[in-house]
Amino acid sequence: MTTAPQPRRWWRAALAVPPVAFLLVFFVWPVAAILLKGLRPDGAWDLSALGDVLTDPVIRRVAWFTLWQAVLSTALCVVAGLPGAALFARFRFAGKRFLWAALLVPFVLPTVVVGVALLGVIGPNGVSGVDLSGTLWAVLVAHVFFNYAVVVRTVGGAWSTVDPRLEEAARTLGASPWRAFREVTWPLLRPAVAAASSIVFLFTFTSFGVVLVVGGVRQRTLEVEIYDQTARFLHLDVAAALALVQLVVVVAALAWFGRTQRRRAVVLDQRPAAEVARRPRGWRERAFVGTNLLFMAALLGVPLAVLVVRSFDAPAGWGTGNYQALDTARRGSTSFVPPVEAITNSLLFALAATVVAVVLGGCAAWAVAGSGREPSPRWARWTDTALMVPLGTSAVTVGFGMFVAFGDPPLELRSSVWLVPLAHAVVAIPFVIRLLVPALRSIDPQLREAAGVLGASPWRVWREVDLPVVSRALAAAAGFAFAVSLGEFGATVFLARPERPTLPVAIYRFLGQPGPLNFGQAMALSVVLMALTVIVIMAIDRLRPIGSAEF
Amino acid sequence: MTTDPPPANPAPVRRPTRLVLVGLALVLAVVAAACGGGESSKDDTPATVGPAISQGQLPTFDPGTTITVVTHDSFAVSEDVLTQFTDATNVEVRLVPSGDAVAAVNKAILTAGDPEGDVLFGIDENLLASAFAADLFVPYEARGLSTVPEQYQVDPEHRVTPIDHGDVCINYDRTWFREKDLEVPTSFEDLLDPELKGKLVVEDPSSSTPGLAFLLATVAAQGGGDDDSSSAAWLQYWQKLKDNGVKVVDGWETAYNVDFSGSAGKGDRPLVVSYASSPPVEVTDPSTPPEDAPTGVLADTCYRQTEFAGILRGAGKAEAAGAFIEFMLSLPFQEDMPEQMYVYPVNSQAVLPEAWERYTTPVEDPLALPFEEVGARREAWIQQWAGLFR
Amino acid sequence: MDPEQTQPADPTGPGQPPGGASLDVEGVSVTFPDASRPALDDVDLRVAAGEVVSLLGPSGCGKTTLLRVVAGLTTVDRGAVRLDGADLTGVPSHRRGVGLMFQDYALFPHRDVGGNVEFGLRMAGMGQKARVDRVAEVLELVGLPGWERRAVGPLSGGERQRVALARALAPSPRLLLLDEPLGALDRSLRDRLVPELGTLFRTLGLSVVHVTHDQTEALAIADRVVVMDHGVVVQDGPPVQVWARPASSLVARILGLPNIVDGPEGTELVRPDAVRVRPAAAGGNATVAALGVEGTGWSVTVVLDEGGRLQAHLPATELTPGDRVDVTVDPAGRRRL
Repeated sequence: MTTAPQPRRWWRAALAVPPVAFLLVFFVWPVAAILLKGLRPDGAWDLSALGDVLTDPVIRRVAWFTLWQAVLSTALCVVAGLPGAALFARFRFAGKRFLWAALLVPFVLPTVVVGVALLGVIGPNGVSGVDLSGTLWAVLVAHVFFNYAVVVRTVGGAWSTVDPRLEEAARTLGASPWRAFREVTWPLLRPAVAAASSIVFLFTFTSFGVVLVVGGVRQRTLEVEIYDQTARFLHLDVAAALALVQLVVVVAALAWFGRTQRRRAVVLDQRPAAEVARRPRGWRERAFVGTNLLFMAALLGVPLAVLVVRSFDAPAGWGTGNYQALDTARRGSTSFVPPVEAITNSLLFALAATVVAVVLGGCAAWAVAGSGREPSPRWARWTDTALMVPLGTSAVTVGFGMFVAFGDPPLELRSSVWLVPLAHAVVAIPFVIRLLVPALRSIDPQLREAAGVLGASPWRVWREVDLPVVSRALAAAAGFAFAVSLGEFGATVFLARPERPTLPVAIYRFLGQPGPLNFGQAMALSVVLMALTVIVIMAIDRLRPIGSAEF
Repeated sequence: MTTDPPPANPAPVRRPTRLVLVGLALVLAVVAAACGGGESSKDDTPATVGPAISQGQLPTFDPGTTITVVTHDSFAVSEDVLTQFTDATNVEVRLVPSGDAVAAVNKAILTAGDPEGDVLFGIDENLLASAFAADLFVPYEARGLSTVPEQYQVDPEHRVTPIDHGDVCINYDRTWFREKDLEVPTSFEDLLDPELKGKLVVEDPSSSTPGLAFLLATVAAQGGGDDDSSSAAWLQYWQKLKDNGVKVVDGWETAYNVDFSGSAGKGDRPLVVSYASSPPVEVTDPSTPPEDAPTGVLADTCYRQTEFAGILRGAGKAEAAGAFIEFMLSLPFQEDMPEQMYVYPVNSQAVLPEAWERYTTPVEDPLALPFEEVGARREAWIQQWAGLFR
Repeated sequence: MDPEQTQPADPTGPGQPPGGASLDVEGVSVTFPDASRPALDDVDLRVAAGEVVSLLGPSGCGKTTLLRVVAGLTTVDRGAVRLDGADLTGVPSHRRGVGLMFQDYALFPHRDVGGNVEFGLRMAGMGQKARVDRVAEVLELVGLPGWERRAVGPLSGGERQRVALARALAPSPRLLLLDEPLGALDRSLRDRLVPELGTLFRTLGLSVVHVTHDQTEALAIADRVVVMDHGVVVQDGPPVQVWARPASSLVARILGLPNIVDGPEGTELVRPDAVRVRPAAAGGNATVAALGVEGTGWSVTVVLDEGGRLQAHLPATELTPGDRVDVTVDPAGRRRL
């Protein structure tokens, strides 16, 4: 359908420029820098490492393992997360807001802490009595633990705006509940599920820390190999070759996911979430809610409870000894991090990263989403895929790349405090895009037209229609960005910020030293990080544009 | 067209909190950017640096001089002690933790000639070869070396200066052995005892420094380091360890805090590769000190681990850097180290803390391999080991 | 050069004196990509100030497209649209000052009734107090007084339609475009609302283009009826004239006129009251097919033995479907098209 005049088109393209420019500077350049250092040392191309890598049977095995464990993990996460998404979308229950925010806690905990938590359940002398440490099962459990929130918050958010009357209509036409879901709701959810799956796949494909901690030496992924080659052996040529292999797989996967999402997102009859969720009625619904909550308690609650319990196990006996020690023990040492300072630094970085990610990611999403009625132009699809790549790129490659690229002018950011939130934003922007695009494509274009006819300029249409209707997705995106930053995702593990230690840094310092007091303080600080996450995420979840209902 | 009176609307209108929060965020972000990046001056450095101490005193410099010390993440020193250095020399010290020891050294190699800082602290013997190959350091012969025993001065060219040592040894859980009424093993062979099947946890040598040290210990003790085949003596030993149920995990944090039964994690293995300095930290109640620490060390399995510091080539503050190295060898710093970093001082005149005197026995003759050999063969050994365990 | 800058300011908006604008659609053609034939083919339409014009036609005839063209939501391939003489080509829809009521209402789900109705007023920069008053006024007009804080989601079809109408009326547009405004309503509601709409339009003196496929609606409120088919205007005139003299059998069908008979000499229209139906004396020549209510009388549909159907209007009857009847036609009631 020919629509309103041309100015719309170039605005969209113009919107894509800032995020693309940002990623060119803060992602492409560092990665290119470190890859070139490996494949073009001393100015001459040397691609022999590429050949070695592609023919090495060990590498082949590792690459294959990485791929299939990622596929398996993604499938498991989706299967585990869908009931959770349904729960949050359709029902009201006590503690819903708290739980919705608490889902993100696994995301922000440092990998070793997650290892301690999970191994406290499925490890040696673990609570469950079963020792899965060192096995693939442990890795799969860990992946579901981490990524449950991605699936539930993404799909659940989309699901909550689907009109339940559609399923009801199908039921009156003779469809069983399962059939009605499959025929009516599932097609409407597909874009969100594809979005969540793509993120989970990227995470599990480049999974590094948690794989090592719970999986032991047998579960080796490409990322682990890249880490060893880069950080430990400094074989930059081999590392570069491996990183390229990883990149190729990631781009192929993203292209495939993009195709699934491109199947035109159906324009949804948007209902405010508050109208859609209701209290469970009848024993079937109650059982569903109950089983789901039980599952979440087992998957997320128990490991996190292990941390909380351990945090109260002080050397002097049960109590708040560890928490008190946070402020007193090792005072006067250069490695001492006052907890308040760590919290402040973490929050500041996270705020900065979230603002950058939401603004730039939002620009990109609006640029590439188009409207649900027309298929997006080719450049938009390629930009969309390109903007997702940072999520799937080796963190150690990016980290070391930043180290190499930003050592000299014009961008001598290597030891600048600004690099940290910007590096977080590099990982958070794909999140934001992936969450906003399906929401944008499901806006009824007639709403925009109606606003236009009523006198709203394109900028006002955006503010009055687009923004409120996707506010839920936007809040979810902001929440993820915040969690990514709090948890020091990706490359920032390799970036130094000497004057501004954050919570994860402080936790690692405690864990690196022996003794129950150090360990206890690490647990205590982890609990502080958990609590902080829940509080802030709950606050973000409540933010709404002016004048709009709880949508 | 008349209708019923309207019911109450369930959806209230929200306040404009979003704009306020965004504004706040921007303000905070601006405030956070107060700290700038590091400066690096790039003067020419002389080929060597003369001893910075004359007559046992540290030299003074112009006020406002700052040196940057690149360290690994476990570096710690008391603020008071560090202030002593600044008071004596007018030099401010800026610490840059840069990952674990291997990462810190590798980053320094990546930036050789245009380094992040003036001094690199935390490089151990296993990394010396690659660091020297990259010509990282400016040689400096410290005056304080006169108090350091020969065994730690591994580099005749003084490119690096030894500062501390923390030997990697197998720690055992005393309580466990007492309860099971078993003899505590003393040698590598004892670890193969069927009674100890499944009781040892070690770290992956490719990702963990103590793990690598233990691997080197087995090479040193069992021999066969130049044997590339799978029948190398040390490799055979590992096969036997594997048959006896050894567990390999990714790093020290997991091994010590999760699998080891003698520490906070209360795991199921009473033998772990850790440090000689770990037992005193397990003594938690200083008011009623026990006879022995709850954990102990198998002295015959210890491998020497010395940490060095060196002046980075191309940094520019070579004189001040040298002064700092002298300071690190001086008693205030050396005696501060055990409590801060859980390592032993190399300065033979340093007095150990009381807990250390009581709960540790100094390891007289730890295993060690020449650093050149380690540099040349390390990767090959790790590959051989990986063939067995991956 | 930005086309938005070269157009005169839009001629309508709140604060303007009531009274409609004149609309001039000249030679407009629109063909959509992938379409075999044009959606609009050289269409002319004139609406005088204060006039109510009904666009009548079957689905797909282009009436919705024509409305979208006037509103600025669809660009034309050829032709021009003028409002009070000012050329609207290139003027984006948010500056045209035309009111549009969508077929499925397009109410903003994230705002309540008041929030929807005041939307256009906010865009025009009206102050809070003035908006509150105007919204109350308009809601009163459409029969939803006091409904400002109601949520939009749970409203019934009729209520939504009235909110959509209120929203379109609030900014006092000088031209109002309605796309099947009563389509979702039941018969009795429609019958009640049709005259009310007519009164509303005349009171406000608006120019209205009103799209419908319901003939009674068109007849009741329009000053002029424009019949469209397949993107082309096929007849244009006052309702009585169009109904009395449909231009072709096609138009007659669109108008829903009964008894279109294709005879050897051309098509003829037979007035239903000229059809005489009597219970068959012997055998009969037709069968009663259906009965219907027509005002206070009956409409009886019969199937002729020789083929064809006819509809008769009888003041009273005792016939039932299936009865055999004798049918004759009063020649005075036949008319050639």
